[in-house]
Order: sequence, then structure tokens, then C-alpha cells
Amino acid sequence: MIEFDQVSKRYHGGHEALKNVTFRLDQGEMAFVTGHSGAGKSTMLRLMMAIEQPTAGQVRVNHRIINRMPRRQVPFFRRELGIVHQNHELLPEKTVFENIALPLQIAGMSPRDIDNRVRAALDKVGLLDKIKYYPVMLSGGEQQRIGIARAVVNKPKIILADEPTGNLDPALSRDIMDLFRQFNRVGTTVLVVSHDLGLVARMPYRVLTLKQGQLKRVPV
Amino acid sequence: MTRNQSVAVGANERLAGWWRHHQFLFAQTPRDLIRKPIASMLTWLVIAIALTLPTLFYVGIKGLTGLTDGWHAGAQMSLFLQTDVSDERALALSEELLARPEIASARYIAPDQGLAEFRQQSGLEALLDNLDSNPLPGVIELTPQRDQLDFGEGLQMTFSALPEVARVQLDLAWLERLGEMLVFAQKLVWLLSALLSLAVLLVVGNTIRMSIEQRRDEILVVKVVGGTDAFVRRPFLHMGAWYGLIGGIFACVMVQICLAVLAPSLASIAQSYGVTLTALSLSIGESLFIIFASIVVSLVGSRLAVARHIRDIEPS
Ligand SMILES: Nc1ncnc2c1ncn2[C@@H]1O[C@H](COP(=O)(O)OP(=O)(O)OP(=O)(O)O)[C@@H](O)[C@H]1O
Ligand SMILES: [Mg+2]
Repeated sequence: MIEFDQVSKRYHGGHEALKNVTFRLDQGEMAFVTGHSGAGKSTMLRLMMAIEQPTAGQVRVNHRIINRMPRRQVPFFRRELGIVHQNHELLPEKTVFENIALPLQIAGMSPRDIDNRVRAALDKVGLLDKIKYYPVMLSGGEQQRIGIARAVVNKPKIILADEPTGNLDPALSRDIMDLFRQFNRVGTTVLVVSHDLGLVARMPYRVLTLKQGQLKRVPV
Repeated sequence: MTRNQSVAVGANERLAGWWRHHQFLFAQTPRDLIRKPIASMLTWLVIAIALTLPTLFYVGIKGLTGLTDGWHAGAQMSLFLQTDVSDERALALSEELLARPEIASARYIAPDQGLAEFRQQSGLEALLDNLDSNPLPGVIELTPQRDQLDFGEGLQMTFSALPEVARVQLDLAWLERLGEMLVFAQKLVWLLSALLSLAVLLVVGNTIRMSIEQRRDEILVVKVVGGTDAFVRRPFLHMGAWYGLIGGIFACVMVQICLAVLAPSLASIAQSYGVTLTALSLSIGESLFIIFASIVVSLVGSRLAVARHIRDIEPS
């Protein structure tokens, strides 16, 4: 489902953020990416989202090759991904409902379907009663869960999360991880970037460790 | 679902989605504009003022053109007769002239009658009383048929050749000059309209550019979750159309207000020249045209702004 084949990424300015990275994540698999700050974790995710292009090697996500993907196709490719950010990136001027509805609106769904889907997604993250709130009225953990609801509302085949628990306390972090495990259990491929080695170690998933842009350990 | 099916479903669904987004924006964009009342109002007023200027000019020229047409139709040619032509001969000549297709009316003014009229109009009674004899010749005043376009030099030559006629006076030269000035003024209106339309385009373009900057975060999120460039552009195009629509309506209202303010003094000026001003107003059709043009120009301005700025906003 996600395949890196000898991928290197050199940014403008010469810094090589990824060096010859090769790995594969199968459909329905869940895995973590860890590593020190600046190791290249976010770069790896940005390559998967077609935000950046690799300077060498091939990135393949959801049966599509990212390298030289025509610009026109990028939005349609991204619709099949669910993306969760550390700083949730909810739009402050829109309600919880409108925030979560955005990917569905982009996909052109009817208002009635949008309503049903948004409610279902909010129900899954346990925040259905906050549907009319604005993001500032929610706690950090709640905002993060709204961000997850937005990521999964379009029923993506792949969820990519960049430090989704970065700002949260341990109990909340565990809740968020449990959410991802639930989505994985119904067949979604999940890749989570996390600093929290303790949390990662307690869960039975593969861990990809980056160091200075290189993959340290690749259990096949 | 195989790849093929998803493409087939895509075509119809895409059209439906496109239309749903427009429907959504029909309701949403006015709310967004009202949420920033001062900024929106300023843009509307600037558009309105820019459009009011050439429109007022245009209406003024329209009024004057009506005037020259009216005067042309009412223009006169005076045939000054030789002093030895008798009243009978002069009357017969005026009958002959009236028979010509170009002529609507012919009036013979005998020297005595002419003197009496002049005495009345000039206020120089005392001076005239001192004259021994009447210095005025007989005059035949001719007016052309309403649709007679070359009531001018051609006829002037023909009539000059008549043995009874001493001189033909045609009072059209100043009219032609006014006509020339109006042609010039019309060109000026076109130029002014073009320049001020450009101003509207730039104002709307700049407003949209700022609005794109303000919504940068939203654009980034939309792009990350799979919004196409077209999807991102659409709200701004709707916004541009609203700027044009409301700005155009404001312009029409402003024009009518200006005309209402100017009309009384214009009417009295016109009256002192003995003419009535017509058409000093904006018709429904003209108003609709201004609103339509305003929308088109604003849309072009928005389209240029989004083309320039939205592509550059990419997630990183
Ligand atoms: N747009 C960019 N231009 C140039 N260099 C960049 C850019 N983005 C990242 N880098 C560099 O690439 C390296 C890897 O960055 P990246 O964001 O992938 O690290 P990270 O593992 O996500 O770190 P963190 O845990 O702090 O988020 C860093 O040294 C960073 O300075
Ligand atoms: Mg990072």
C-alpha cells in the first residue's frame, strides 16, 4: 500500500533529509515511525502525500507512483488519504461540522450524505454533542479528535498521522492511539509518526526508526 | 470497486458536486461579505463611483444628442429676396418652394412685417422710428422635412441661383460644430469607460488578492484534503461576481441620484435656450447593461487574481 524504493530527498539548499530509504507497508497494516527531531519523519509523510517529490528512488502509495504525478491528479490522489496533523489545522472560522464536512464537500457529496457521514465520524471519535461548536471552544484533545474525524470522514484507505499526540497528556495520547487501532481493525492502513517511544513500544506494531535520514531497522 | 467503475461514476458525480458547490456558495458568499461589512462596502462604493462617472457623461451626451437632432429637424433656412421682388411674386415663390419634397414649411415675411417683428424683438423702437424707409428685404423662411438629412449646402446653392434670391442663410454651422464636439465627447466617454473599467478590474483583483491572503490557511487545508485548484478558486469567483453585482447596482442608484440633483438646473438652462431636455435618465436596459458589465469586469479581475495567487499556495 505504501512502498519506498531507495528513496532520497534533498531539499533546496542541499540538506539531505532522507537517504536511500526502502520499506513497504502492506494493505491493512499499521506501523509507527520514530526518530530524533530532524530525522526526516515529516519529510517521509510529505512524500507520501505528494507534497514533496523524491530526488531519487520511487514512492508508491495506494497503487500510484508519486514521482512525476501530474499536478491535476494530485487532489484526487489526496482524497484517498486521511491526513492528521500535530497542530490539527482546524479552521477557526468554521464550526466542527463545517470542518469535518470539508473533504466531503470537496468530493461533491450531497448535503444529506454529508450530514450523515459527519455525524458518523463524530460519533466514532465520541464528540457528536460538539457538532455546532467552534474549534476554540474545544480542548486540545477534543480538537485533535475532530482533526481525526475530518481525516477519516471520507473513508480513506490510508491514514497518515504526523505526531497526532504531540501536545497531549499520556491518557489522551492512549485514547487517540486506540482510535487509530480501531480504524486499522476495519482494514485501514495506518502510519503514525510519534516521538513517544514508550507509547509505541507498548503496542504490537512495526516500528520504523529514522536516524539522520536513514532507516535504522527494517523488520521485514 | 475497480478503477474503471470509479471513473464512470466520477463523470456524473463530478458535475453534481460542481453544482452543489455553486449552490453552497450562492448561500455562503453573501454571508462572508456581510461578515466584513466595512471592507465589502468600501469595495462596492469604489466600483460604484468608478462606474458612475462615465455613465453620467454618457447620459449627458445622450441628452445633447437628442437636442441636436431636434434642432436639426427644426433648423431653418432664410432666403433673403432681392429688394425689387413684389409681395405677389414672393408668395408665389414660397408656394413653389413648399411643393418641393425637402421642404416642410415655407413662410413669407414681407418687409413691413419683418420690420414690425424686429421692432418687437429688438427693443430698438426709438432708433427704428428715425428711419425714413424700411431697409429690410422680404424673407422666405424654410424648414425641412423631419427626415430630411441634407438640408444644407446643396439646397443653399440651388436656392441662391434663383433670380429672386439675394442671399441664403443657413444656420447650421454651429450645429455641426456641436455635433463634432459630441462625437469627441462620445469618444471621451468610451475612453473614460475603458479606463475606469480597468480601475474596477484592478480594485476587485486587489480585494480578491487580499482575501486570498487572509484565507491562506483555509486554502492550504483544502488542498491537503484534496481540493482542486478549481474548487479553491470558486469561492473567490463568486465573491468577485457579488462585488460586481452590488457595485453595479450602487452605480445605477448613484447615477439616478446625481441626475435627480442635476435635472432641475439643467432643465432651466435648457428652457432658457427654448428647448426641452429629454432622456436625461438611465433606462432599465441601460441599468442592466451597467450591472452586467460590472459583473463581467469584476469576474475578470477576480479570475486574474486567483490565477496569479492560488497556484502559489501549496502545502509544505
Ligand atoms: N522545506 C524544507 N527546506 C529545507 N530543508 C528542510 C525543509 N523541510 C525540512 N527540512 C530539513 O530536513 C530535515 C528533516 O526534516 P523533517 O521535518 O522531516 O524532520 P522530522 O523528523 O519531522 O523532525 P521533527 O521531529 O522535529 O518534526 C531537517 O533537518 C530540516 O531542517
Ligand atoms: Mg516533523
